Amino acid sequence: MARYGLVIDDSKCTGCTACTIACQLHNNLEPEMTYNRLEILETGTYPNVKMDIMPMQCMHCDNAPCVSVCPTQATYKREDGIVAIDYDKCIGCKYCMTACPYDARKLNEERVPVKCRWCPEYLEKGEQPPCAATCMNDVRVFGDLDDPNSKINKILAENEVVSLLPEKGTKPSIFYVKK
Amino acid sequence: MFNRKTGLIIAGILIVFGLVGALNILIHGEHAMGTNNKVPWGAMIAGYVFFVGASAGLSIVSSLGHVFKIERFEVIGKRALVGGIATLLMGFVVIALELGKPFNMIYILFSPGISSAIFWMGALYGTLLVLLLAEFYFVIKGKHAIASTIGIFVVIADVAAHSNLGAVFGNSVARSFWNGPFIPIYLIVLAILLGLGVLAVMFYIIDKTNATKDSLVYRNEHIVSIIGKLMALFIVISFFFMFWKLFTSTYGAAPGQYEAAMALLAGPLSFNFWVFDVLLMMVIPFILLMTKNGFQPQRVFLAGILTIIGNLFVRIDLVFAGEIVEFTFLPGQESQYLHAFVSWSEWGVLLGAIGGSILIYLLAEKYFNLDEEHEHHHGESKANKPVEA
Repeated sequence: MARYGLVIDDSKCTGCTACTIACQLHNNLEPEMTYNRLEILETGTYPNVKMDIMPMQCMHCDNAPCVSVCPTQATYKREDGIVAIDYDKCIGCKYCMTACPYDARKLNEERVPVKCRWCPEYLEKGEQPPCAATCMNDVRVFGDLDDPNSKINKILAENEVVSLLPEKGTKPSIFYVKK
Repeated sequence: MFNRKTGLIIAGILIVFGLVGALNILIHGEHAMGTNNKVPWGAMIAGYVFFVGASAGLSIVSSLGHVFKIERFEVIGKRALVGGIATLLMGFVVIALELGKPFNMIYILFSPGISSAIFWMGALYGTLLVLLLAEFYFVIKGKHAIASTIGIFVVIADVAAHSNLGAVFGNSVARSFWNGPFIPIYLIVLAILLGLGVLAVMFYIIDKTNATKDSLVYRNEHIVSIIGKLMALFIVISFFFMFWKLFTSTYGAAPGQYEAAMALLAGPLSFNFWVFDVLLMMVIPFILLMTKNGFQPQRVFLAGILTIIGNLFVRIDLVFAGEIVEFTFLPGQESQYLHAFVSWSEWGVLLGAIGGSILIYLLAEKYFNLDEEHEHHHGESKANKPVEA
């Protein structure tokens, strides 16, 4: 069984939002619904300005608060590391939304808090999901953390990486290449 | 001014508001609420906490009589029990409307998430309702020994359920302002204050309408006056909790907590906070109670109404304060206050649930004997002549 992870090198991100659109198209989402987003911060004064961009989405945490707080196990952790949702069991209490420190959930029209699925239909075939496949700069690289020869493990070995909000104890499965 | 018909009319009007609000929520779902993706919990959650808090408060205060056998509180027993059942049922109605898919609650039985405080909330409140109904059944049947034993379990279940409800918030590592043991403890204190407020209003009206054959005066002291003294005490305790929560949150400027506390003190929630949480729930009732003749039933009644209103707002503010500070992820990113409000549909539902509580109580008053008078087996007579306290 694979154990999936994702490494994000946001220094390569141009802010084109192709990842967001690819995700929306693949998952047939409404225009205002996104499973991934870009956090953008502009600093400085013209002409000395810069823009920091950080792609954000569900971190598929190993110690996921949304899994712990779900009263019906509608949100659960799969053996391959993906945090998945059983829509038929969700009561719509939105506890997962308040519990997630990454703002990863959005409520759909059926009043179910939804989020990034990590598209297992691609990962299981060894392919990159649409958000990564569409990216011109390989900002996102998915892979099997248990496969020593996987591309993700090579990136992790060659770069210093950090997790987001480690103080929350969530143990994310997404790693950001340190700038 | 007060009579049964007035009560029914008020309940009816409030229920109409409730039905309209509920219908709008059922049709338009989340769009009819003042919440959004970043502030997912709002007035419906606060309203639920308010109604089940009233239930817990009524149970805890009435336990002084029927569990701890303090004689002067025995007179409130049955009516507090009915009030506890009515407000708990209305709390369930409010939370059912808040839930996106309430019928999937069945999976709490088939696929329980035992690490979830909401799972335990369902389990504990479900148990509590069964216990409350059983206690009421045996009380009405005159089987006081069994009812008294169940009463002990009711107060245990109520404290467990309501403090666990606090843990729904307190367990949240994502929300710094909620995270920790404060809210489970604070909710119990607020529940007792709310229960006292409800009892003050109930027994003032019961007295004015001569709805009971029981004497409401114990050793020359009216039950509403006694409730007023406890209310003053619990206002002070509530203030103590609120003060230290806000003081510690602002003193060290702890990330997340500081901004949330400032939202209450000087930010988007400050009007609600100062007017309703501070003035209406605490300051004005306390002045009413502690100035000359303050424990006269009429004063306590007025203080009770104000503290009930404040109690609703303090819960709304507590829920919003935990979510209103936007998360930031990039170094140097400044957090903003998010926008959330109480929609007219949500107000409708909350008013309707108050009306529903009144209606259930009035129906119980009509169809059951809620007097305690004939049940005393001890030697001392309580038939003091009612006098103005």
